[in-house]
Amino acid sequence: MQGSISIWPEQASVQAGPIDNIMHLLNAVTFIFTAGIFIAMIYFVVRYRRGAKVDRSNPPLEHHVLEITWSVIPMIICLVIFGWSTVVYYQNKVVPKDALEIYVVGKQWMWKLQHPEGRWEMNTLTVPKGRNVKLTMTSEDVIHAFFIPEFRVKSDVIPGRYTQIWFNATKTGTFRLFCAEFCGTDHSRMIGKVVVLEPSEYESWLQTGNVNQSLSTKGEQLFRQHGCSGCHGANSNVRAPYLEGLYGAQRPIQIPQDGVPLERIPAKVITADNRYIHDAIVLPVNEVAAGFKPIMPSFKGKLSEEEIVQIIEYIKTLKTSNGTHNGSSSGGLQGYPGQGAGNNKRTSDIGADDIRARTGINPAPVKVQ
Amino acid sequence: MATKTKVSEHSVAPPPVTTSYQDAHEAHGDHDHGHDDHGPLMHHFDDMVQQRESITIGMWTFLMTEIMMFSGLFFCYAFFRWKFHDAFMLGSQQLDINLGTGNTFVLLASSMTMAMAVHCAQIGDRKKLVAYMIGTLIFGGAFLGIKGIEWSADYHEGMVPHFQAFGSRGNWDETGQTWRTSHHAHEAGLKAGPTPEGYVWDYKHKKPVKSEEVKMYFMLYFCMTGLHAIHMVAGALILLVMILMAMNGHFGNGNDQPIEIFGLYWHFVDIVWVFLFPLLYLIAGFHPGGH
Amino acid sequence: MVSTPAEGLGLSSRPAEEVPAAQGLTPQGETINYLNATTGIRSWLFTLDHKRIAMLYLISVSLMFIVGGTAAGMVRIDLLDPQGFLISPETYNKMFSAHGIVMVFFFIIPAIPAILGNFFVPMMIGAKDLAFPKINLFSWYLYIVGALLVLGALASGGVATGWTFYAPLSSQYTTGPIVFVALGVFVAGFSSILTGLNFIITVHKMRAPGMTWFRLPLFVWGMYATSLLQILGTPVVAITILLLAVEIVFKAGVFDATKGGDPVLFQHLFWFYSHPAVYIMILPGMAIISEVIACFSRKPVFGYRFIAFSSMAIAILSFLVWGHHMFTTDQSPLSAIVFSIISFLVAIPSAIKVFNWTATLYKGSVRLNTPMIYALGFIGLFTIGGLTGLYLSSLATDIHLQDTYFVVAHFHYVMVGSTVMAYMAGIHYWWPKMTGRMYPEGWGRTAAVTLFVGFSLTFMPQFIAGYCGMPRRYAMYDPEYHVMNVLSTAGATVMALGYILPVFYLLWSLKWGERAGPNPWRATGLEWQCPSPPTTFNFDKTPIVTIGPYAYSAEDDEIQDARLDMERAEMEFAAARAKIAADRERMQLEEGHSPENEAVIAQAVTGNAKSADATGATGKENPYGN
Repeated sequence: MQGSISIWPEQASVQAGPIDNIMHLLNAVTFIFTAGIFIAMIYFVVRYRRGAKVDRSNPPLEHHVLEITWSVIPMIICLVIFGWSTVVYYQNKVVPKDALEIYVVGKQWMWKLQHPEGRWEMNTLTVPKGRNVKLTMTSEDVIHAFFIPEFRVKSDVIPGRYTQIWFNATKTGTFRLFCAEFCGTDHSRMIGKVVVLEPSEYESWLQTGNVNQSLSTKGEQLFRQHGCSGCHGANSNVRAPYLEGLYGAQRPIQIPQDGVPLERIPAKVITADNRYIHDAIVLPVNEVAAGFKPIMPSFKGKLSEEEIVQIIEYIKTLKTSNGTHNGSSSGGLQGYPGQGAGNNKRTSDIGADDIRARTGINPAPVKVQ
Repeated sequence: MATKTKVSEHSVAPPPVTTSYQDAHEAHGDHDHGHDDHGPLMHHFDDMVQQRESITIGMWTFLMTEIMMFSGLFFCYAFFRWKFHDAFMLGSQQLDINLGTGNTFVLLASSMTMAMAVHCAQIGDRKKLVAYMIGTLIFGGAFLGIKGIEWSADYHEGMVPHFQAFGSRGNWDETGQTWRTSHHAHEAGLKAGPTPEGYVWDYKHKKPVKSEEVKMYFMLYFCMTGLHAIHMVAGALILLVMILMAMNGHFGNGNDQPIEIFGLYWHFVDIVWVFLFPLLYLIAGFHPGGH
Repeated sequence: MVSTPAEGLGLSSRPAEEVPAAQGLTPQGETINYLNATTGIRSWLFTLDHKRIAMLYLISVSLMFIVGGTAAGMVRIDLLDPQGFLISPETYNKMFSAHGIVMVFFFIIPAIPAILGNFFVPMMIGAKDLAFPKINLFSWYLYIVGALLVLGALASGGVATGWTFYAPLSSQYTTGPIVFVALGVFVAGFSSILTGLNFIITVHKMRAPGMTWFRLPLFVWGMYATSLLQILGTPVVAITILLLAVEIVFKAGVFDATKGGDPVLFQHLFWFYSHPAVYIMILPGMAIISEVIACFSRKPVFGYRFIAFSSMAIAILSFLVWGHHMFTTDQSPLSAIVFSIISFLVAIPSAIKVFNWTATLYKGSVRLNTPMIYALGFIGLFTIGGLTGLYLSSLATDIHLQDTYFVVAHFHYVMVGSTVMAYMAGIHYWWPKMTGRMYPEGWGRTAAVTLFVGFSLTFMPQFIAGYCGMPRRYAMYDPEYHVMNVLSTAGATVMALGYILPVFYLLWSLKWGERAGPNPWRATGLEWQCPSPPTTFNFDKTPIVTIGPYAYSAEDDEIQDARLDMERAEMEFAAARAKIAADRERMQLEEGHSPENEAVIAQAVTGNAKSADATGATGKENPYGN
């Protein structure tokens, strides 16, 4: 029998500690209650065994105070565990803003991981120690689940959706990576490892090995190849939204409704995140950038999930001409065609008043550079 | 149990006090199936009241499970209608609202005749009972016939998704020119707007809609109406048997409960349609249906 | 009379002579009961007697248990080696799928309701039969059709989807006769619905006079709650499975993300039923335990109302917790939190039951007969199974534990450690009633202890492996988990022994077991007032109920036992005296041996034998041997 007996997994991320603390509490509760029940049971069985000379007079048949007590005490314990656990869960759910984003695509039966700088890996995830890492994951076929026991993180990887987890590795070394959701024949071979390096080693690692073009470079190629630049590019004649500064910005969209002319549909503001851009590529008519016509074709089936990820990375690199990555500081409508002269050649297309009239949104004034 | 207390005074067959070796069950059954004034009391009930109530509650409980079963489909419908609102509007326009409305009235009529049949069974009018049941069967059959015509037209116009393997002329990934509304619009001289590949043009709302999503509407349409039709067919078959039994005078002498129970089922199937009809046919507002 | 319970006392509440005269005799000289009232295979296949249908279920469910158990055995043997010991990963996947599908849909859901519920719900409420005997028989045929569909599908290659059939794996990415399995599960679902429907109507309308709701035995309450879940939950999974079949056959796309569908929708629909299904599995187990604990501690169940209401509370709450199976999907934090807290709350009624059962032992007169050992084992294992459920309803820890062996261990503690233990308790408790025969008590206790030990050894290591991160449904695994898996397989071997033993001694008892008499446990409850085995219509006269279900008194029982102890001692003393007297007489006769004395000698010897028999016979009927 190889391997040592381990009864507690290593803690290798900032998440592991708090989760293990809840485990300790739960273990204590379980142990106390189980021991209590067993001891009570054995004591009663022995003491009140048949033929034992003990007092059996007036056995209680009901005792509401007692029963309510032992209903309420477990309930309080449950609520305490619930509260604590929910707080920890919520902290683990909210992804820190500064996190390094790595894309994960699961397919039967392998993991493909892409670093934004272009290095990609199969079934191995290399991350720097002490840095928040965010994984954005999707699947090309069935549901998988990305699971790193030592980090205590797990999330299903679902076709047609992006799921996210984040962690912050606290130890260097090699850890295990599992697919936890049954995904077919070689489910148990859909495993890999997580290598945690010192940040400096990580930097040099990024430069070696199978350095590919960065995701965004690849994305840029795809952007031209599939003709996206034909409409969204700077010199296009087709009226399509500019993508500069799009990522992460607040954008007005219209959700088309039947029987209502698009012009009369009030817009709502959403954040242009991965989900939005992904859907805009594969399901463009569902959410139309306010003020535009729903004429973009769907690229579903033409772009793989990996390629969509690359395009998203490319779109992220598109900055507004004033150099800010996105325009959250300036009211959320930056980069929107027609709202200012600064970054838009086609000011005649649609003006700020126009937006207001059509969408009910007051575009924030943008300083002309 | 109040009903149980009557046990002593009632002329129920006593439990099998068989002193010789014989088929206790059979012997008991023979006694039960004799037609007396109370109708056939089954061996394990104490009296007719208990039997009637048990059977009625049984049917209601069964209908509850049926509701839960349909609710699974209604949940899917709600989910996808919320998700693919436009496609559902477009899909709904493809249905023939005239046939749908007609069918609704046919089914309501069958419910009415069924209610009359129940009444006739209760007052013991055998001739009218048979007549109304035949009426119900005819209306039910007519409903299924009209539904069949609708489905057949759907099939030939290529609206059954994913049936290409069976030789359907489905044309889902094109611009949807084979559809009823498209025909209609074409005749009216309307022109489709810019329709990207994988989309179909909604003439009424003037926008392109993803054909995959319209397929989802039709998938649910066929699942829901199909499950409903299966219930109709089952009901019609039972009804046929019951008509033959009624002709033989099987439901006389106070034995009218089977009719009542069946009536409950029939009304339930009817009510399901009453929900299906607006959800499938009427959601897009009034539309001429293309014909 | 050397056989096991003989060292006790004559406690049979009704001596054999008191068998009701109405029972009559068969030509073979046996009393007429439901088993021999009619003969021939047709009399069984077309029977409307709820007890015979229960026996049909017993046979078919046991056969399915053997199928599912064999698959589990293959799985456990394969996991002896981290790289797989026996079979290929694909075969492994098919094996655990077969194990799950057969055990969940064809063993554990029907086991207690369809066998013990079918047999005893009408008897316990004083009815002659279930409300709809024909539907009852029909539901057995549905079960058989479903079982044959699934067995056929397994024989023709099997499916590798797990029992959960998650789309899109099951709908697009696996081949095999999934549609047949789906149809089999669908059909079996209707069998379960019809059984539940029958129970509900029976409990509502068929109770004997005086049998008020709060005089119902807790077994009936448990069955009623179970039936509610069956009739409300099962149709939803039926339609879900049907949609899955439509998805596979017609490529409908309802669960296919590339066609605009949603794979998580399948999980919602599936768990909306399948979580209540977990309670369909455990509530009947709890129901049995309430009966057994009361009988073998000779005391009314402590807090009858709390236990009855907690069954109903579990039934209702169980419909609101399905989302806790999907915490790691893209569920919104808000819904996750809501599902989490309701999942915590559903633990409370279960806790109440455990405390009340334990309190029932207090001031009782506890007898450790076989059913009681199973029941005490149940309480222990259910406590662990229930408490480990808290780990999984707690959001933060569930993220780590979801889809690991921790989950596997948890639900086996609840499903096997609890429900199957309860099922075994029930089978042993009512076996004398069902068959009229006693099983050998010593073997029964051995099997119960074996099962408990084997079970704990099998599944306790899986908690640890799971917390260390071993994902479930892995044909091959990291060598780190090797020790735990070997322990687990060793435990499974012991557990298998615990299942095989009862098969032998229970079958043995059918022919050679001692006659049980109507009430070998001196239990209260209407079912024990019928002869064993009961007649076809259970009761000669509709019983009139005037008291609650658990009219036990530990004190009185102790006194009665002491008196019977004394009687037995006196009887033994008398027998010994008779023997001595006879011996002395024989010696005298031998001295004066003459032909005219021969007859006297013969008579003396026979008399001696008779008195010895009498001692033995009384000893035999005592179930509460020390």
